[in-house]
This record gives sequence, structure tokens and C-alpha cells, in this order.
Amino acid sequence: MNILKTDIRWFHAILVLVILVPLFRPMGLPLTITKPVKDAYDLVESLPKGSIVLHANDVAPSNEAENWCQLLAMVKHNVAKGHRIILVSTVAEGPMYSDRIRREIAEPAGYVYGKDIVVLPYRAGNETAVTALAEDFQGTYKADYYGTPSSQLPLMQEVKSMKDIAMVGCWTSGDLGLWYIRQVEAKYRTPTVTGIVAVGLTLYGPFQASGQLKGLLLGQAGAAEYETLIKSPGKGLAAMDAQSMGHLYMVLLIVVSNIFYFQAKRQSAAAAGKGAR
Amino acid sequence: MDIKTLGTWVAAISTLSVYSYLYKENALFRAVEYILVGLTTAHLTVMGYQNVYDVAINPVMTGTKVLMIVPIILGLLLYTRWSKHYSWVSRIPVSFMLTVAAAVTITGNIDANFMRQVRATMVPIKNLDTLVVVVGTITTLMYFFFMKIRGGSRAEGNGGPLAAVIAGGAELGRWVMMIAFGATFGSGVMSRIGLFIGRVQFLFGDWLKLIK
Repeated sequence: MNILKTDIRWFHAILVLVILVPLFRPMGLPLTITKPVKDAYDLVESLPKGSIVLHANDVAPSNEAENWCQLLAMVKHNVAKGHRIILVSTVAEGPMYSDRIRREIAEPAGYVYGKDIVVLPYRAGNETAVTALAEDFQGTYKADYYGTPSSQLPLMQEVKSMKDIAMVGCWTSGDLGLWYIRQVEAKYRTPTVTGIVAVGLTLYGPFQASGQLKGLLLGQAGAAEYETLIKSPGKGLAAMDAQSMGHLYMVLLIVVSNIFYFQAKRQSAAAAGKGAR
Repeated sequence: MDIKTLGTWVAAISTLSVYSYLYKENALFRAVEYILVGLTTAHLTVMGYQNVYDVAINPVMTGTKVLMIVPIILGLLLYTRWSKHYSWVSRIPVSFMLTVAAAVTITGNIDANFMRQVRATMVPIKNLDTLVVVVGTITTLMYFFFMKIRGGSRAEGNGGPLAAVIAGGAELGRWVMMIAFGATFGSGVMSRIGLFIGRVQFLFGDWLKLIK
């Protein structure tokens, strides 16, 4: 059997099985809490009750699998600590997820809309939108996602500038965290944490290492670690065994494919040598 | 069937249709692909219009921020690019946008992306982590700079000890970058598997209720 000539669909089918089995039968593989996640947890722990936390929620269907469980874990922690929450978005789908946070987490925990939590609408403009909200928060959002004027929302009246925000959380698969590092953390020194999809590690890692990010949640693993810290198992933790088995399968494929590749290369070199003679 | 259950069924069937591509390209996959493109375009159009209405049109109509008429006019000028004779006019708002974007980005960039990143590499070497940061940064920079010295040493074979050190450092820098690319690829794999697990959790959890 030559693995290099095998129909790729077999590998897809095996990957499905490798991921499905641990989801049905969790194996309880050990999970280490990494420093960037612990730092994010410690920052939330250190904020006094009633602090205002701004979550830049750029969760969309394309990054839901990784960012949504991260955001849920942190919002649950904020709610447990009694922090007040403002949700903003620079992607069109973001407010739908923010609305779910209000309905599914905040209000069942006794949060009052307008006083303890506010959902703000999508704003186009990417980094310029972040600059605008950092410089003139109330001017950028005249009304909330539901059309209620900001003047009627007590929580909005308390935020004059970024200095009134105790912590910023950015949940993204793109550059959102970098915009907040440049426009909010750099200018106002507001403590910023980011939850990113796993592929963003090398993009955001340097900012975590330099201290510009006070915490970093990386992919489902980051969510699983945070869920472990707050003792509230969710989809992140449930996915970890499947993640580990999926990675093991990928590593195995890389090693085996390379063995076959070099073997084929050696054989073709040997055949070419014979032909030349 | 309530609206939430209906939504779950539509999402599940759409997910399966998209994954059917893994077996073979088919009509169902194409149909779902087109629906996604259509829905996304419609959703973005509505949200975009709402955004422009809230930020610019409404303040002008109500007289609270009459000056917002300027960005509205600049925005409309963008559409002149469809005219053969007046397409040059669209360069005015484009240049304005580029200027503002550059100005906004540069102000934050100097501190966030340059000063503090440089400072973060100038650390006392206390442990292996800081050693890797310092050596990795210097050798990677060596790879991109001092090319003339390295090139001279290779081509002429008389670059001297400085060229040899720089060439060795650059080679190490190449390896540092390779390891970084490997880490990027690894985290890319993690991300893709994460996306797939998310869909599997949806199909077997939210839809079929077979897993918690």
C-alpha cells in the first residue's frame, strides 16, 4: 500500500472517526493551564465588583467554534464577579451573538438591561471605528442595538472615554485585537485581553510577550483552560479530547507521509541511476 | 416546529451539504454555497445601510450633526468610478480614506508595534525564554539585513570573520523563522480541527442530541 496514492477521502473519513469517538466517549486527557490564560483570569479576578468591561465581540459563524466558547467563559466569569458589560462589534454578525449573551447569560443571572449590560450595534470602519469609539464613546453610539437612545441607558452615561473602562476583551479571528492594542491599549493603557482563533498565535503572541496584552486565549484550548479555571465546563472543554486525538492523527499522517515520500524519492533516484547505466 | 428548531434543521442540512464536497463536488454543495453568498450579501447590505443611516443620514435629517453631509457626499462620489468621464472624481474620497486610515494607524503603530515591541526584545537574559527572544530577534534581523556582506563573503570567499559571523547568524535566523512557520502551521491545523469539532458538536449535540 502506498499512502501517497491513497484516495484522500479515506483520510477524511478516518479524521471524522478520530474526532467523533472522543466526543461520544470522553477520555479525560490532562489539560495544562497556560500562563496567558491564567493572566486573563487573574485580571478579571482583580477587577472590583461593578467595574465596566467592554467586550469587542467579533464572533461570526466562521469563527464561532473557537471564539464563542472563549467569550462565553469570560462573560460567565464577569457575571460571577458582578462586572457590568458593554458589547460592541465591528462585524455585522457580532450583535446577534451579543444579544444571545444578554438573553442566555446576563438576564438569567439577574442583570438588568441598560443598567448592568448594554448591547451596541455593528459599526463599520474597522480600525477607524475603534478609534472613534475610544475618543468619543457616546458620540459613536447614539442608540443601542435595539434602537433605544443611549441617553436612556444609565450604563452608557457612565462611559465618557476609555478611561472609564476597566478592561477590554477582544474576540476575533482577525485583526480586531491589534486595532484595540494600537488605539486603546497604547493610548489609554486600558488592560486588554484577546481571544483568538488558534491560527493567530504567531500574530498575537509577541503582544502577549511584551505585556501589551494582559491575557490571551488561544482557540478551543484557551476556552477549555478558562472553563477549567472558572469551574464551568462548556463546549471548549468538551472539545479538548477530540482536539488532542485530531492532532495526534495529523502528526501521524505527517510522519508516515514523509517516510513514504523519502522512500519514493530514493526509489526514483535509484531507478534513474540504473537507467543512466 | 418552532423557529429555533427550524433554524437548527436548516443549519444542519446546510452543514451536511457543504461537507458533501469532501466526497465529490455536487449540486447540493453549489446550491448551499450560492445561498450563503446571497444571504451574506443581503445581511451586509442591510447592516451597512443601517450603519450609514445611524451615523450619517439620521444626524443630518434631524439637524443634530449637519456636517455629516460631507462624508455622505464623499461616499456618493465613490460611485462616479462607474462613469467613463467622471471616474477621476472617485479618487478624491479614496485618497481621503487612505489618508485618514494611514494617519489613524500610524499614531497607534509607533508606540504599539514599534517602540514597545523593540523594548520587549531588550530584556536581561535570565532564562531560556529570554535567550530565545534575544537570539531569535537578532539572528532573524541578520537574515534580512547585511545581505551585501553575506553575499560578498559567498561570492568572493574573502568576507572575513565579520561576514562569517553574520552568515552564521543569518543561517540560524533562517531556522528560527522555519520554526515560527512550523508553529503557524501547527496552530493553523489546530484552528481547522477546532472548526470541524464545532460543526460536529452542533450536528451531534444541538441537532441530533446524541452528545451533551
